[in-house]
Parts: sequence; structure tokens; C-alpha cells
Amino acid sequence: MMGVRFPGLSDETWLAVDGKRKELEGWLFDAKHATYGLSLLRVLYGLLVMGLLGVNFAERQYIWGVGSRWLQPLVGEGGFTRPFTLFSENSPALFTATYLLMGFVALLFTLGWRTRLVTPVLLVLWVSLTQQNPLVTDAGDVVVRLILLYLCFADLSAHWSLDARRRTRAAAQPGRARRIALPPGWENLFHNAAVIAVACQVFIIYVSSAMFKIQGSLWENGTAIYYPMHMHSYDAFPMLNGMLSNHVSTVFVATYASVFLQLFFPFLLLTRPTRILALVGIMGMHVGIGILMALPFFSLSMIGADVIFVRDRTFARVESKTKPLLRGVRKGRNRDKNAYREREFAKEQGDGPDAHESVLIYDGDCGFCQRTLDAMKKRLATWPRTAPYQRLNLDQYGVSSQDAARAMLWMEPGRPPLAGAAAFAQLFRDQPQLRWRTLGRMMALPGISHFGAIVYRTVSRHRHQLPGGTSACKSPLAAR
Amino acid sequence: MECSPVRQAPAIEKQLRETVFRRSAWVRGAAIILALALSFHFAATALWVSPAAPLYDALAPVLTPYMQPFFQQGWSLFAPNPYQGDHTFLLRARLTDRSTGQLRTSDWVDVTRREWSGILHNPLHPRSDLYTDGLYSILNDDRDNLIDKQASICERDYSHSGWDQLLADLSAQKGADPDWLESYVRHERVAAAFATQYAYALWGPDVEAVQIRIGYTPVPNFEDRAGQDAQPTSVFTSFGWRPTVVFDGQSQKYFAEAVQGGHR
Repeated sequence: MMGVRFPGLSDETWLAVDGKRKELEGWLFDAKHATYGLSLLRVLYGLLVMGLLGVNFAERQYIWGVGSRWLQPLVGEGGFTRPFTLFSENSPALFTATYLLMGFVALLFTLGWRTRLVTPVLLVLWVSLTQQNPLVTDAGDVVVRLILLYLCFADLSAHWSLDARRRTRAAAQPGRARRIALPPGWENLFHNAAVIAVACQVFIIYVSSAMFKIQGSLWENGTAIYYPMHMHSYDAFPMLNGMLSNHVSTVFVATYASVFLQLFFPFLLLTRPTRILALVGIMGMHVGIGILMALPFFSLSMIGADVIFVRDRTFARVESKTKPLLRGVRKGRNRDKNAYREREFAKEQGDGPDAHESVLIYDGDCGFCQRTLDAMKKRLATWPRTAPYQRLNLDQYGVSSQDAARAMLWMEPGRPPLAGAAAFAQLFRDQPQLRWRTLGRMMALPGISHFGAIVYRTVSRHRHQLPGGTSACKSPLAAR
Repeated sequence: MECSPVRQAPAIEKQLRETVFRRSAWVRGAAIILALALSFHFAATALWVSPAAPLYDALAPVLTPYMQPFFQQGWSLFAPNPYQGDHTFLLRARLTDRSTGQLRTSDWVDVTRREWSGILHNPLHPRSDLYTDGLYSILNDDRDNLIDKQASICERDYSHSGWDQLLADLSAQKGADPDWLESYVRHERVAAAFATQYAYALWGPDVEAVQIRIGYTPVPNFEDRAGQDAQPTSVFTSFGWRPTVVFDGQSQKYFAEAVQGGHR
């Protein structure tokens, strides 16, 4: 490619153009995009289908089955033919069987089992069912129909799926047969094209919807959302809707925000701060529509599509923060019990702490501290080796006596010391009971840990005024 | 980082091979074809969902077969203006009294009001609670497109002369679009088929004819929202008596179960 040059183009221009081309090719062929977003979309749409089948189960024959043949001429107007006629047989039993099968397929889709095969099957079932009643179809049916088609070309199982688990296990056993797959370049291309297609479809929905709205006088004068909130067919919670739509400013802001968020949606995605605004705003709008206008399934269909615009790195960050927490809750119990036994055993073996085991260092002059620790020791199942800093050779831990006087320290070999609230968090995390472990893990979360540090500092500053406290207890922090 | 060319060379070679493999001429060609296909698809979609435009009219013969049925969509949601009132659907029936053979007329039943009770406090209501909202829409949209003379024909009794006569009488008026009128009568028959089933469910099999009327009750204007005493007045549009309609495969049992068993 580099050999071809256009006359009149400088080398710099050509290099810039060629660089863009390479960038674009890299985006298309080298990796799959929005893998987390599409996995979440899969879960949400799976739940949507199961939810819809669930709430309509009792009236399924009245809505889509033999009880609904009175609207057959309208079904004809829709124009759907095979293969989208799976629900048009006149046998109630066959209809129910297909209905239940569809619920099962939706469950498999949610769990991410063989998604490449299950997705088109779910699409055909979805269209077959919803086209059977065009009178009470809602916009969400159309959204799911269109987006499921694009999703047939994407990899929906990268995360949180049985497919992903199977692939991980297969990779651990190299002897097992490889899965059938397109070459990576092709697979990535189709996946990314599907992402683009979903995005374009969402843009068309929002922008076209806003363009219709800006023609309306009620959207222009900022009162439009008041009206559907007071129509009985949308108004599930009249008290709530009455309160929310009473104030002219609330109604005005909500009306204008819905128009502008939709109209400018594609452009707001271009930079990170505006993207956050757009996604939080539009998802908030849909939560509002779902509850206040009683359109939960339509709302979910849009929220599901919106999540593809959250970047993989954001999801990965959230996942890395929450995964240890979840894994701990699930598997931690046995592991921690074993660790507890080992520690107890080690404690019986020798006296006096050494630098090879964990130790909780506190201020031995502080009556309040001593009382607090004693009280906790009574309540907690496992208790670490504790030692007042006054009786320790702090040099072997690499901390100063000032550090130790300022806050309780959790020392673990090979790890930086944990001070104050973080030391408490570690103490809780070492407990065999789930409730304490969960508390400890939550205390270590960003935000909460900062808050905890502030609380610790505040208590510490006033510890000489607290029960058990003497003036000897006065923290060096109190002077500041 | 320490650079050891001997050790890195195979890795680089492998990476290069993979990159070249990923970007073969075939896959690049496929990318161009996909780009063209998606461009066409979304250009067509954008035009299809746009407010009416001369360009749309010009391209409709190409667009329609492509977009329908699978890509059929429209996104004028609550727009240009949202509805500003409640839609109701009422029906009554002419019944034969079995003992005397006399005809009697039932009271009006407000089906919509029964459906509302299912929506109240339950956003997860079955979608059949919006049946009459849908029926109102198709009937009202159709009626709006009729000229005055045709509208008055719709109010006449066709329970004996039937649907073909209704279509013939409507078509006899000047300025009638035959396709439109056919669709109008089709929709009226759907509404009558619903009313027939409903009447069977409420009053049993002795239904001779059904009649429908649709009502519109405005929500108070935003400016008048505080006004407690101003009871909004409903506007009704009536349709004349129609013969009962039952389409092939219709199960009266399942319809009646839903009407009697549920909150309807």
C-alpha cells in the first residue's frame, strides 16, 4: 500500500492518511469491542424475554394464542411469514409448549450457553410471538427484534457466561478439541460490525424520536411529559405521578432533558464527561419511563442497548473491584476456616511475636484502645497476635513509634502495614463468619475506606475523652 | 527493559504472521462489503423513519419491500405531541331472550375502565390491559380520515345488511380511496370481533349484534392541573350496530376465561 502515492499529496499527508487507515483496520480486525456491554446486553434481554413471558403467562392464549384470533386481519397486515409463524398454530397445547420452550431458550441465552446458536433461535421465537399480536405490541418489541438480529453476528458470551467458562476450562486442558470458529480477523470483523450496527440503530431511534418531538408544541413549551403521566393507561402510580408532575420546573426540565438527551445522544458520546452525562441521563430517563409510565419492558430494551456504550475498561475496572468481594463471599468460608486453624496452631507453638507472622500493634498506654480490643476479642471467633507497641522492637517491622502511636497497625510479612480503619477491616476479613468477612471487605472498598479513615481519625483524636480513656491516652493527633 | 533480539525475534515474527493473517485481502474485502451493506441499511432506515419527505416518497417503491416486514419501525413516541387524554372503548349487545324470543339491548360496558384496574399499582401488568387502547387508536385514526358523509354512514345500523353493504355505501361517496376504505372496514370488523367475544363472555351465546363507541376524556391542561372541581367532559364517537364476527380458530373459552377470571 505504501508504494501507491497520489500525485500532489505530500509524504506527511500520505503518512497521516495511511496511519488513520491502519488505526481503523486495527479497530476492526485486531480485537472485539464492547465485549462487556454486549454480555450485559445479553443478560438484560434474556431477563426481558423471560419477564415478558412470565407476566403474560396466565393470559398467553388471550394475547397471542387461540383466544386472540379476532385480530387475525391485523396480523395479516404485519406481513410476517415463515419462519416467524411458530406461534400461529391453532392448538393451545402446542402453543403452550412453544411458549415454555421460548422461556427455556431465553434462560439459556441469559446464561450464555452456546450463544451463537441460541441467539438466532431466540430471534425467530421472539418475532414469531410478538408479530402474533400487533395491537398490543410496544416499541420495545421492535427494539429487541432489530437488535437481536444484529447480535446474531456478535460474540455475546465473552463475560458472565457458560460459554466463557467452558472456553476457560478447555484452554486449561490443551489436549481437548478446539472449538469451531472463524479465523480471528473474520470473527472480530463481524463482531465489531454488529457493535456498529447496534449503535447506529440506537442513534436512529433517539435522533428520529427527538426530531418528531421538536415538532410538537407541548415539547416546546416544556409540559409534554405531564400528559401521559396522567393518562390511566400509563399511570400506574397516580399519587407519585401527581407529586412529580405538579411542579412546573420539574416537568420543564424533564421534558427538555428527554428531548435534548435524545437529539444530541450520538454527539454526547464523543468525549468521556459528556458520555457519562448522556448515559446516566438517558438510562435515568428510561428508568423513569419504566416506572412512571408503566412501560418496564420498553425501558429495559433501551437500557440494554445503551450499555454497549460503556467502555470495556470501565466494566473491567468495576469487575476487578467487585470480583474479590464476590469470590470471597462464595468461596472464602472454607479457605478462611483453614487459615484460621493454621494460625491457631502456630499461636500455640511459640510465645512472643516474630517478624514472620501477622501482628496487630496498638498503643498499650491507651485504656480506651485496650478496652475496645478486649471487647472485640470476646465477640470475634479468631483473634490475631496483638502487642502494645511499647513492648515491641518496632525496627524489625520497619515502622516508627510515632506511626504506632498515631494508629493501630496491622503488620503482615511481605505487605505494607495497614493502619487504623484498614487494620480493623483486615481483622474482620480474617474472621470465619460470612458477616464479618463481608463487613471487612466492604470497609476496604474505595470511598468507604476513605470514610472509615476519617471516622477512625476523629475517634482517635478524642479517645482520651471516651470511656476508659485517660490523659495518657491522648493521641498525638489530638494536638493538631 | 533489556533488549535481547535473539529471544524476541520469534515472538515478533508470530505477531506479524497473525497480523497479516488477520488482515488478508479477503477479510479486507469483506470489511468493505459490510461497510457498504451497513451504510445502505442505515440510510434506508433513517429515511424510513424520517418525517414525511419528498425524498422518501420518491424512494418508497425501493424502500418498502426492503423495510417490510422485518425492519418495520417508527419512532414517533409521544410525538409530535403526546395524547392528552384517556381513551375508552365501550360496547353493548342486542340479545335474544330465550324464553320470550324478544330482543333486548344490554347496558353499555366500559371495557377500558376494567383494564385500568389491572394497570393501577402494577407496571408489570399483562399487555392485554392495553387491548382497548389499541382498538381506540385504530378506530379513531381511521374515523379521522373519513369525510363527514362517510362518518354519518358509520353510525347507521348494518347488523342485517352486513359488512359488504357498509363498504359499498362508503365507497359510493365522492372522494373515497378504495384501499383506505377497505382497511377501514377491516379494522371495524376486528373491533366487532373483539366486541363479539366480549359479549359472549358477559352475556352468553345469544348475541345478535354488537355496538361500539369510543370516548375521549381530556387530561386537564397543565395550567389547570390544580383545578379540583372542573370535571373533564368526555367526547364519544359512536358506530352503528354491527353483525357478530368470529374469525377462524377463535377460542371463546380462552377469551372468556381471561375476561371472567381476571380483573376484567
